[in-house]
Amino acid sequence: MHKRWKLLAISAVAALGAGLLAGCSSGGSGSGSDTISIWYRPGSLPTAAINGVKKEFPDAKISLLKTPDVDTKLAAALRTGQNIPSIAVTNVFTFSNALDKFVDVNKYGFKKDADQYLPWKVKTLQSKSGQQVAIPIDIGPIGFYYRSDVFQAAGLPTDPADVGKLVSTWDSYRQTAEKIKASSGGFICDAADASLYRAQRFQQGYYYYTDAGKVDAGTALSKSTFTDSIQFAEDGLCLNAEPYATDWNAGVAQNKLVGWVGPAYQAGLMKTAAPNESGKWRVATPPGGPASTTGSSLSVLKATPDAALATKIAEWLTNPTNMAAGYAQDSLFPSTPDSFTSPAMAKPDEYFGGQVTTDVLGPIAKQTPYIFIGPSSTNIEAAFSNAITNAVAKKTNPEAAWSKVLKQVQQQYK
Amino acid sequence: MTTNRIAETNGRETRRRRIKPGSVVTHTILIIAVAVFAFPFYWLVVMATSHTGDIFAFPPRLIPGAEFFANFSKVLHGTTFGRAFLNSLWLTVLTVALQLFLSSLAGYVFAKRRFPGRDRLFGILLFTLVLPTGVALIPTYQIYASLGWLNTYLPLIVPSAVTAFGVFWLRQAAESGVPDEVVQAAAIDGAGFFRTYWSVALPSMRPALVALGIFQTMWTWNDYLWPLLVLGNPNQYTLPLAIQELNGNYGTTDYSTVMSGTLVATLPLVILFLIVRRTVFENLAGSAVKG
Repeated sequence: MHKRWKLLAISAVAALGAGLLAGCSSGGSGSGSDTISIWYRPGSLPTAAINGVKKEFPDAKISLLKTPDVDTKLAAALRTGQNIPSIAVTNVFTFSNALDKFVDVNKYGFKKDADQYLPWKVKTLQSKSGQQVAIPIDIGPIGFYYRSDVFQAAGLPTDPADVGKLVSTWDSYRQTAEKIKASSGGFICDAADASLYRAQRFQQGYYYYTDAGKVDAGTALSKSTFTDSIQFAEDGLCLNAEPYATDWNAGVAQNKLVGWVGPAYQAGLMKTAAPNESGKWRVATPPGGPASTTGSSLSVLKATPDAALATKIAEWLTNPTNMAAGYAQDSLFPSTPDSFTSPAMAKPDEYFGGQVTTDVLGPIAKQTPYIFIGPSSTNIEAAFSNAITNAVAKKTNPEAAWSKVLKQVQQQYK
Repeated sequence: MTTNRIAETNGRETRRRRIKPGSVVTHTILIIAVAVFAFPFYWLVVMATSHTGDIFAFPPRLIPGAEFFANFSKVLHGTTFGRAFLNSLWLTVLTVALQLFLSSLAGYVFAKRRFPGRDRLFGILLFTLVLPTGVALIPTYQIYASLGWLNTYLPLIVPSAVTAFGVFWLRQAAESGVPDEVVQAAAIDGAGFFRTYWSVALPSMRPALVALGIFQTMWTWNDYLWPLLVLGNPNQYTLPLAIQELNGNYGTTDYSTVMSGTLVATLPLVILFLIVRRTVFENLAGSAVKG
């Protein structure tokens, strides 16, 4: 009579036991006391570096963890003080309240190698008190990407050097946008915040903070970039599709988006969305002067068993050789100028009709102005960008949109 | 059974009579509604079986293509998808089995056994239901970190083994579905506690068990944040993590690849639903009458 019950109980216990065993036996990555654990987002570090790091440091115990959302995972670890990795690819400035948990890599040998990296990028990764809390990985030099065939049909120059001159200022960019729209019906601006607002701000090295580290969102520059961008889109000169959204890809594939201003890594979007347009795209210097998006970085955490070794590993992961390989394989634009002359970067790009894109993007990367990144920079940027998108969608008066969003931002971020 | 017969008679009647304009309107609305709800899933199939370039062309591709295996091989190549699928599978089976067993046991006891402080205990249990999960996230993480269970599956199994919601759900089912007379009759016949639970209570709770099983399957199968926080090795990853890995560094996404992975990840849930569909509908009808 009780057999069936017994069977059930036994199987339940067995199931639980199996679960426990499976749970324990596969917990292999636990960071032992002397393990250098590295957390990174998929695609954030050069594949060659990931594959080669254990061979390069045979004596170190290295565990690599590729995981989505490193910032979320790291936040949980830092808040509880447990399970903290040695090295993490993370946006260090979101942890501005916990910077004391990050290693100043200058103390462990980064200082003598810092000149391998672009100076402005190294400086952006310093805390207010001058500690080097992260090591550069990649950057996003901003270029003007355009369809040479559409430019030709409009009777405009097609050579990158000439096009760069044609759109050298934001005014001449607007005139070109009007001509292209009249001749082909296409747009050379994807969205006001992506093509115009971001580049205009970064060209002035402005990221909503004073150099002393205070939020200052209401400057004349902040206002003019905001209202001008909205006006440009409300005059019907943008496709109004954000990069990484499906309608952006559709715009490229359907020849509606025939130009845009944006960071180099966005070029990869076109290659997957519109493989048939290969050979027609080119890149030129952007309107208004050189600028780059700040890209990613990796940090060493104080919980590491060996800060000197961890710093050495972090530096090796991003050295010029690995960064050049990262450009070829992972579309990461190096922050190490020595990589620019590597074969991978000096190679003509088929998708760009045989253009060597580094010839345009390399100098932009070098001439990019320094940007102070504050703890709320990216949040404020998101607030303004959303306000721009909303204003354009609703055709709000730019001035009205500005006073509304500025009030919000000033209340929220002080 | 009776409902079936009524449905059949209705069917015969409509066939004999002329079609009423009212039913045409009803059906048109229903068909539109079905299309609206089914289209995203259909679009998933189209995206998973086409080139990314085809999807964004104009006019967009509207029929499934032949690229599924090419897309899916990219998924297998780019992630530990196969491993993650197996992980999700055994984890889901285990948590569902534990949840159904332990929650039904507790639910049965709360509903049918008398012991001091029963209602107060149940009240406390209900109170934990109203706590938002976000609040508990960091303390829970802290507990498992202190236990040394991070980077193992234990934090995924133990909290799901028996949940307040499961106990609550099955207590309600036992309360209304298991007649006291039958429990007493079983006792008179000499059945012990577990015998009564197993042979009398469980069969009466079947619809509720199936429903809870489906919920728990969905929760475990789709959970992203908690596995992200507690797992520490790509070989341990569950499906949502593996699929998330397909998204590139700055959001660069090859939609066809991601969608083919998503499609395969969705299939088990679809199949499961097809299998238990009848029980679910019975349960829905049942609770409608009772409520």
